[in-house]
Amino acid sequence: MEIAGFPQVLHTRNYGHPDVLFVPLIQEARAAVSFCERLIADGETQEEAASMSGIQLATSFLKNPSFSLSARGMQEEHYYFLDLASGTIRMKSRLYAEVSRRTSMFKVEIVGRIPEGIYAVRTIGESPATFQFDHESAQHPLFFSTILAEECLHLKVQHERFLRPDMPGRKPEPPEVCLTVETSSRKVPVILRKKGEREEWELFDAELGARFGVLPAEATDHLQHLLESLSEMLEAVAGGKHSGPAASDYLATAVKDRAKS
Amino acid sequence: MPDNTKSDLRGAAGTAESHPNQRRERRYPLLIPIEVSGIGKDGRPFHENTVTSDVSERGCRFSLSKELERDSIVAIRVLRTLAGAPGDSRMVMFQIIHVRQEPSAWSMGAWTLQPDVTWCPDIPREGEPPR
Repeated sequence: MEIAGFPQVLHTRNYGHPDVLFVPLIQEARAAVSFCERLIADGETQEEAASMSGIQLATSFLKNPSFSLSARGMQEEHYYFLDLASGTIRMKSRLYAEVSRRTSMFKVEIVGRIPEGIYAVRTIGESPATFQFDHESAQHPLFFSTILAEECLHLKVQHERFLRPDMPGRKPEPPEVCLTVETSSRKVPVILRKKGEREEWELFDAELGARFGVLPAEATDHLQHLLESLSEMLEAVAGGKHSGPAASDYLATAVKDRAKS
Repeated sequence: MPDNTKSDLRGAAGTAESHPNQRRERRYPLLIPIEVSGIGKDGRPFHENTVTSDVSERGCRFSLSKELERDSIVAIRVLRTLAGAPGDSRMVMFQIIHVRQEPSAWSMGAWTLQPDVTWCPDIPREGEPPR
């Protein structure tokens, strides 16, 4: 467990699994975040308030003999990073889901705001997926090792079906576009998702799942053109008309033609 | 998760393994003005000015008017060097490794959690005489 600005990490051999540590850690961290805010309100600088609240949090865990301080750099199966000044937690963990006597392992990253108690989960690996859970869900016993792990598996299966869309029994799902948008200050992964049968596209934060809003009509037209061109291109490629570099030329031409029309 | 998990995680004893060396290094009897900041046993933050009674490269001993728990963490800032120059404004974190009651104060030994940081510029480097 690492606390921003704190010089060493807190290490535990027995209590690191999120089923055991996540909720108590969040409870202690919430107290530390409030403490930090109180110190700032009382006139401490943000840096000092963060240090003092880090001291408070670390001391509370060091009361348990299973926790000790150690230098940074060890590779841990479960890693927690707390930034008390910004009230955020980032966690990396490995979860295991067992279905039909086959075990799947998932590396997950969980990020969230400690006071609000809403967390986004991102699976890391071949089939990345994102979803959310809240503090109340996390209080369910074995939430991480069962519910969350199974949700990861469910999303992995969904993702594989997405890659093989003609699989029998698959319900048609609204189209979705995932992309990373570069703003002047950062790169934001976003998802554009078509809203039912309507010609509206909603924009979501791909990491946190938050909804940004509905795409403006003008942008929707461009997106519609692009998707139609992509569809034509894929049909053409599947029919053997285009492949390799020629395919991208085809796409460029198709997009231009549509823009003209 | 039930509340008893929280109490399970907050046991009784400290972390002897986190500071196994217990300041075996050379100590110097230097009276350096420091500010000690931390969380008292009552859970309230405090800042107290005091002086060291001895220092070493990785630790120091000082007295405070209030008792702290063994293994608790404090931040120490050197207020002035022996030459009278203002100390480094940076706080360095220490862990309290022993606490002893004296007639009018609490004497404490502390071990730095930032061994890569020179916490006190007055401590001679190895082979140098004390300044």
